[in-house]
Amino acid sequence: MHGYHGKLLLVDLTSRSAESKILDEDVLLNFIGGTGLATYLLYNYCPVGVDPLSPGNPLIFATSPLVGSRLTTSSKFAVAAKSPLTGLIGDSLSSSFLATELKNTGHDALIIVGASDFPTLLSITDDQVEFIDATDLLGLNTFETEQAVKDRLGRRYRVACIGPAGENLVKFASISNDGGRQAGRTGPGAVMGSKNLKAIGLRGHSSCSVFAPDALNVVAEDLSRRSLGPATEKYRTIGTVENLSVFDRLGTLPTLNFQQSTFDAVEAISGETFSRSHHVKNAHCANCTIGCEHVMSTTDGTVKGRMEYESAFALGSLVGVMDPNSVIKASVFCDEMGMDTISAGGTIAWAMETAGAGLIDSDLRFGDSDMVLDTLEKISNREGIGDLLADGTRIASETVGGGSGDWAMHVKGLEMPGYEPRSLKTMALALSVSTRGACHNRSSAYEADFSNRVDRLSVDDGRGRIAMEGEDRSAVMDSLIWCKFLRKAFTDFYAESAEIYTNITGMNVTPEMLQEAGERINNVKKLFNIREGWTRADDTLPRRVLTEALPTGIVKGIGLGQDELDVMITSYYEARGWDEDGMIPPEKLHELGIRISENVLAAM
Amino acid sequence: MGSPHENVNVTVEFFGSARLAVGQPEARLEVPSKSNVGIISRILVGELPGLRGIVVDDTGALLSSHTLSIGGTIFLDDSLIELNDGDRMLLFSSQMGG
Repeated sequence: MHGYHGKLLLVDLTSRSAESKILDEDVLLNFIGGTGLATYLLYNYCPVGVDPLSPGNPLIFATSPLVGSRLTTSSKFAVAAKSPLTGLIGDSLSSSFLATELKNTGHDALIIVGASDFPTLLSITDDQVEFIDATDLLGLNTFETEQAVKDRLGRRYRVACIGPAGENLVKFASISNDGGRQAGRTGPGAVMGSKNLKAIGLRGHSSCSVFAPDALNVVAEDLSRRSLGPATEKYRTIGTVENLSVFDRLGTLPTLNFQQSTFDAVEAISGETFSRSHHVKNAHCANCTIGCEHVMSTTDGTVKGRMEYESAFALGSLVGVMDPNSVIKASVFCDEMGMDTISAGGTIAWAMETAGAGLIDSDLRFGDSDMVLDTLEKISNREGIGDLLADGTRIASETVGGGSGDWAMHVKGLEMPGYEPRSLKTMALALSVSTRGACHNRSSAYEADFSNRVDRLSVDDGRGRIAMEGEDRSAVMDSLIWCKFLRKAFTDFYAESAEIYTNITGMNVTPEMLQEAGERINNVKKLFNIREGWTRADDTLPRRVLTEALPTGIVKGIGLGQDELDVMITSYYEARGWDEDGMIPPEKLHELGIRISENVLAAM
Repeated sequence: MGSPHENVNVTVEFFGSARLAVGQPEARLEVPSKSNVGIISRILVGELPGLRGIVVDDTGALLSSHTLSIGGTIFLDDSLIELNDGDRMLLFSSQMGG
């Protein structure tokens, strides 16, 4: 076998045991790796109805056939577990050296089950597994934890860890690796914390052979060259924070808890301002030629960290904060504590509006940057109001009641990202039907909205196919795994990816087979959710989106009715070959080669 | 609305690297009332040479890294489009990922 080890490592924290298990070639071929492989494993290892924060919930890390190759942006890994935020499939991606080191242990995936009865550092050196007391690491932030583990195990170990937020089971806690990169969405850090697992140290010496190394090198060099061209210009020059001023002008910048989609003070926190006044340097993940990361500093130089659009929107316009120094501090603090910035900002924005309505006893108000920082600290420690907010917007609004659910901006429990659905109608559909909740990355449907392909301000029954195609393509990207920022560098994504996959693995894969794998992966994600109780009613958007028109900017007066959303959802189910309730008929499963017996997904 | 041979005055707003390159948020241009992305980009780089190599290539064509839009709903391509006096165009990155 080339490109894969054909093995996974199963670690049981309860019994302190580990075993290698064979991964069938058919499974790898049909689910590729990364998110696809993690989805397959989650379906088979997650007990039906399990409490996400109980020992039974498996925490899965998956690499891919591209990991370890020279291919640009390929040092990535997927994390999956049943999400404590949504109760449905939770998956997230992160990048850099940890991906390669995990694969170097001789395994394509790592599954962690059970829970330890003491704070644990899990050390994995090739096949050797140790369960080390990590009591002394408790309370350390993610950067401190990573360094402490390296001090203990050796500097060449790569570390995945949680911060105080994960220890305190904040439901949107992230898993941190390689100096602050985060597997952030859907709360995998809380799952790790529930297992009493503070950190994982990885070191390995096994590499995978490549079927056609010379051919792969030619493709790799060409792709690296293209990755430095116009297709990635924004990510290299200003970074994703460039979105702020553009989205404001286009009326797609969520502001003041989605009460409007323009921000009067956007210039103060715009990408142009960050670039001119706060930029320190560019950085990049291992094995990446793009270098999209932009390290920003506060004006006084005391706080430095990576700044991305999603963090800047969630901790800026969404909460009405116009001070760039405060936005940087809040974003870096989330990375230190190990929290998803989108969910953190979204939950605080809900609390600000709820406090303004007199439904909770708090001084939180839009625009109060000091209160944002204070509340983030309370959330990470579950102190005071932070204990309520640490459960995320959905549970907090259900607890408080009083109509606060009307402005709880989540889908299926996952807080909304920085793409206003009322003025991005294809994105609205994708947000509503996404299996992991309000997610922009599992479809990239906004790309259609920002093009002549559709009218982003109106709906039609062609959106279902667009959303489906975006989801399937994203599933393949997340399984191979490519960075999404490389997507415009491909001239024919499926053809080029199939050629690369074949060069690495020697398995003769066609573009059509890859595309079908994307469809298969999304159907299995959906199957997982159906098994956990999903119904069509879950495919919806927050009440505010469906009842209030946008009040400002060039999109003033634009709304989205339930009937309009229903048209798009129906078209999506039809495009997928699902029934009118969104269930997957047996013939579709058969078409995709999906066979299930007693809750086990069969190898194909 | 102008005839095919008339010129109209439009405003181009700059975002991101384009704004940093020209050091101003917008510029007024006189352009043919029937224009496409190539016509606009050549006039634009003639007025603002700082855009060359960043937004516009050596031939005057708009690089694929950027897009020109009217109101964020109409995206200019090679097709001729009718422009009106006072139209506002937005020049921003074609990469919208966050």
